[in-house]
Amino acid sequence: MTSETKNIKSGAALSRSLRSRLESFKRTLYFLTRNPLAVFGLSVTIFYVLVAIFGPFFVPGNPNYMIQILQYKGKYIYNTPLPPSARFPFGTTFGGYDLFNGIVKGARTDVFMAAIIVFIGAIIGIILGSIAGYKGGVTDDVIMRTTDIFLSIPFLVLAIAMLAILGRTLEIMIFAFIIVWWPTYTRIIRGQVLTIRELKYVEASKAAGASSLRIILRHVIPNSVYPLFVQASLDFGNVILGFATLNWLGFGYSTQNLAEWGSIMSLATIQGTSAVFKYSWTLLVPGIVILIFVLSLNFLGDGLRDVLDPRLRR
Amino acid sequence: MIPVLLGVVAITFALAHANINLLISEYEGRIHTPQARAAVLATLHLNGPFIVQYLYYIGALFTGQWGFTAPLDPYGGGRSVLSVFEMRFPPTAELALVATFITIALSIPIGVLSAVKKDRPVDHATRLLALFFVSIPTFWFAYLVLLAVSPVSSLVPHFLRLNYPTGQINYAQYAFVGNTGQLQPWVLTGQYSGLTRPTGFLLVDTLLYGDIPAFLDGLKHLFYPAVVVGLTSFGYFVRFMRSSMLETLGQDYIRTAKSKGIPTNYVIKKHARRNSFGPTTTIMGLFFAGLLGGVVVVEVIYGWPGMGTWLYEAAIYDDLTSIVVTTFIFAIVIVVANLIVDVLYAYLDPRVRLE
Amino acid sequence: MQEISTDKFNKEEIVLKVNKLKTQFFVYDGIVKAIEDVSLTLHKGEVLGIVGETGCGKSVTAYSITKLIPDPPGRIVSGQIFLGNLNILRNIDKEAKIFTNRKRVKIKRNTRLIKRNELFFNQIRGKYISMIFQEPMAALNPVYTIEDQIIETLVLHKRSYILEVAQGAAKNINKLIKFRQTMEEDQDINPEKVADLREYKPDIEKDFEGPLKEELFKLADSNKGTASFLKHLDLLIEEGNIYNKKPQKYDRILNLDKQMDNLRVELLKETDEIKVNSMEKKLANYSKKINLIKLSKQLKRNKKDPIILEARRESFGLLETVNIADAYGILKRYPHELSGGMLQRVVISIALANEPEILIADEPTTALDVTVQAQILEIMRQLQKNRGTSIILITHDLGVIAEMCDRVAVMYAGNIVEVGSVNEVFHNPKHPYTIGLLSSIPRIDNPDKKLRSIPGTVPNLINPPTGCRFNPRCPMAFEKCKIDVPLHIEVSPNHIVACHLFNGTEVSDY
Repeated sequence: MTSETKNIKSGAALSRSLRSRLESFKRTLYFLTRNPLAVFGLSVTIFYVLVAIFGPFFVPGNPNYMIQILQYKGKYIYNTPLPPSARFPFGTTFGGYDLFNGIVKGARTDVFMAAIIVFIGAIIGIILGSIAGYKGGVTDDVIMRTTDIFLSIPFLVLAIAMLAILGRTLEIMIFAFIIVWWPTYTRIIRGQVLTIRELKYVEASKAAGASSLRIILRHVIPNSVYPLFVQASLDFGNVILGFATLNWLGFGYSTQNLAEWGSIMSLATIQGTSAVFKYSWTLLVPGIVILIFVLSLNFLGDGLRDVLDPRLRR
Repeated sequence: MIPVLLGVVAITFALAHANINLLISEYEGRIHTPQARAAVLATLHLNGPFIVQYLYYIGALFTGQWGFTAPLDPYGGGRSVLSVFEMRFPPTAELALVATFITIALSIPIGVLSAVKKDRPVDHATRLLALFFVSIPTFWFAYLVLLAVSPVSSLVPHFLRLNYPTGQINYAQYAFVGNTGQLQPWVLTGQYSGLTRPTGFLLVDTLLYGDIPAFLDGLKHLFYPAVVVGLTSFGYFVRFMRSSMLETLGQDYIRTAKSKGIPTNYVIKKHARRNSFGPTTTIMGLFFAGLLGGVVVVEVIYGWPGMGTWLYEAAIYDDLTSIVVTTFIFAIVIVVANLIVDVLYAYLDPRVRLE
Repeated sequence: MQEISTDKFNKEEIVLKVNKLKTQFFVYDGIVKAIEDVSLTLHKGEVLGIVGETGCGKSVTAYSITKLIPDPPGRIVSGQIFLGNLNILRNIDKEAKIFTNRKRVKIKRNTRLIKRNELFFNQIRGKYISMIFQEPMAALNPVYTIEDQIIETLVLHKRSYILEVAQGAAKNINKLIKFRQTMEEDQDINPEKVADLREYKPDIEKDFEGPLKEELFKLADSNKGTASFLKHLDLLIEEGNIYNKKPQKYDRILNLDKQMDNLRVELLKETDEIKVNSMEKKLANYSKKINLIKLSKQLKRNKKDPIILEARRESFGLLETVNIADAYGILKRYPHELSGGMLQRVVISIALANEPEILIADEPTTALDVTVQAQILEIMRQLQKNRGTSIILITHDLGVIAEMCDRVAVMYAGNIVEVGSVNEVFHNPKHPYTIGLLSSIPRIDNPDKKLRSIPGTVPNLINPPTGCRFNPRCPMAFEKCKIDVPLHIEVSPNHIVACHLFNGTEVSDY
């Protein structure tokens, strides 16, 4: 075969595989739409992501920090949150912060953080997982033992410890998250790789003389990525929850007026329990916002799993 | 297990030695002279090679020389970390165990039912409920429960105190007076000598001494924290149980059992259930890590005097030794839990046992 | 190859008559009409083969006969199955109402009736009709021992018999001991007698009676050697001893068991609603005593209970009849410790433990390699000859059909297209599908070098072809084939075909 024909053939193959990839994507979407919960999850998630990206543009103030309003209609509202009204759709919270404003900006903070963390974790997972699964032997053992070690420490504990010792910065936070999350992805990819590398067409590729890297890139990874999608969409929610928890505890990199859902909620408890009772929306509203988002992410993830799993079984 | 143990130790070592200044100032205490600093450097072998530091660290860790708490510690700086641990570990253990029990007791029957009646209302309700508990922020849920319950019920776990007839007693400082040879009620520490606390577990101790009112009181206080942690973990666990059960029900041997004429409820009880436990036990190890994370949060919110609040306070007051020890203990507990789970799996599934 | 006589079974007793069975699966994409108006007759002692391609509905038929169709999504919509004179598919149309409106299908189930019918059918499964399946490695529960799974079925259906044997052993314990002594001595003194154990039958006849005698006869007939017989006797003596420790307790249990047995037999024949209700209640109360989980625990702890001991002894005997070496040792093992062939034998022994009238074998040898396959088929044939069990053998392997079966039914796309004796169908096929099937077998002595196949693929059963379902692929199809469903016509004695190429009247007995 001349190099020309080789290129043409591989080009044709590539376009064919792209087409089949598109086909399967369309089919996935079709099955997904049959599940009402997944549809709800998908639409709400998209809504939240849109708010996260574009929201802060439409809302006054610095996109990362909440607006502080000290006086409203002549009264100091620092210690007296205002209930939801036309001016403040979600009301205000202790410290005089506009909740709606804060939550919209908080969406960006949370969503972007989660996206970065999940993305980096997934990349690490893919790389390490495919190496572990494909090479096997000692490399596999070492990588697996390392995942075991990191899975033995509860995320919150490790995160608090790291933040306390190494400093409460954004970078450390991201680092703490990734350290805890990469093992899960690595394991998933490794499991997939182990199954796929036994499949016949991988053997065929090997027999045709393709190099290991080529096999991994073209055959193994594209096919092992499905459970990763499922896990990523479920993890997105978990990362947001963890991030909010850390900020609520006060270990984040946040200052009091940082726009982040967790720290907004921590403001609600500043004056003690009885005060929260009186101004319940300060706690309820951000909580419900998070709840709905994570719930939708989970619906989406579950729906994806239902759709992708039985196909994989065949 | 050994490599994981070593790895965990290595991580805590890295944590401890990551911020050398903090470490040194911790050991220096209030004396900041060059001689003191040199003394600390010598004790911790900080001038030596890494390996020496590491070995010394391992030695200290496993012999209980855990150092002392930081100067800013609210309960008084300079307490032995080991003694703080003795006081803080039992409450967390109690909470974790009771929460685990609640999770398993709820997940197994509901998971099985949900799988058997797949796609019927029970199944959908269970799945929704599970997703709900998984999606809710633990601290928010804990707080909501607190708010919802405190004005209404007397079962308020606000702070872990025993409502003893003579007044509130701080749980963290309970003890029995043992030298009188008789059953004595709970007393505040510091007032008597010869105090005994057999196991440190409130519930166990009260039973050992037969002090039933105190036992019930302890249960009352334990109820809400355990339920919050238990329910959040239930959300995760019941889904695993359900999918494991579904997979088991699709197996061939279930068909064989039915073809023998075994009534359906026995097919489920005898053949399906036992087999679905196997895969779920392997998940339990991972899930326990999540549960402990939830325990930390709930402890902080409910003022439960366990390892969680200890870690939280230590992080606020930059108490390095406490942080390191707490992290280490949490990790060890999970490693041990995984070991137990492995043994359990071998018991349940004869294919795994060594010949 | 075995000589097969063609008309042996015309006048023989009919054990099973399936009449116009219709099973459908209700899935999102529509209704899968898996089997449509399938009828079969099974005579006593015959081996009926069902052959066809994958997806033709052979397994669905088998599962329908034992009512093992998973309820969502499948349902047996209509039909009758006569076990002897009794229609065991009673009230099948009342079990669920199916509403088909425009897009979605809704099924409203009468759960109470379904439960009642399940209770009823559980008396039949394992006792009158047994099944064995394709993958022996997956057929047994991996967490329970072999003996657990054999004893399970014995205790479920044969409890009174088991206890009676134990009672017999208890009452005649001295005679048993003496008998054992004699046999042991005979090993040295009288080797010719020991060589063929059937020589002992007159002695057994003299000394023993009842179920104990039956068991001893069985042992003598199976002729598995003196060591094995002696071991059986040891076990019987042990049982007797245990029984004699608490004879009143066990006598009481035995009486109750016998009453329940009679109740069960009556229940099968009773049609009066009220009486059926009270009978079922009594049975339900009684069944609570047979706690299978407690049984497993007792087995594990090696409890000394005459029921357990006798059930274990019978399992031992069963394993011997399927030619498993070291049968007694195998009892305590787990399924993953045995090979595929051995497991299939265990599965066969479980299926035949209660001496059912009918055994349905769904591709029992497909997952085994050829040598093991031959052994398994040989065992099945022997057992069938010795006990007179009727077998429905489902397979896609025509060679197995030729070797094992007396009659064969050819299925295509949920219909029976041809039925007859194996000789007739193989040498004189009438239906175009059968002809195509037979000619697609590669033969060494065929000068035709090209491999033949039937063009086209198996039809979609959600929208099957109108008229005869084979018409799109049939080389002989004509106009009528697309319109009318062909009748089942007898083209020669006991040879029935469903094809418009032949004229005649519909036969219902095939």
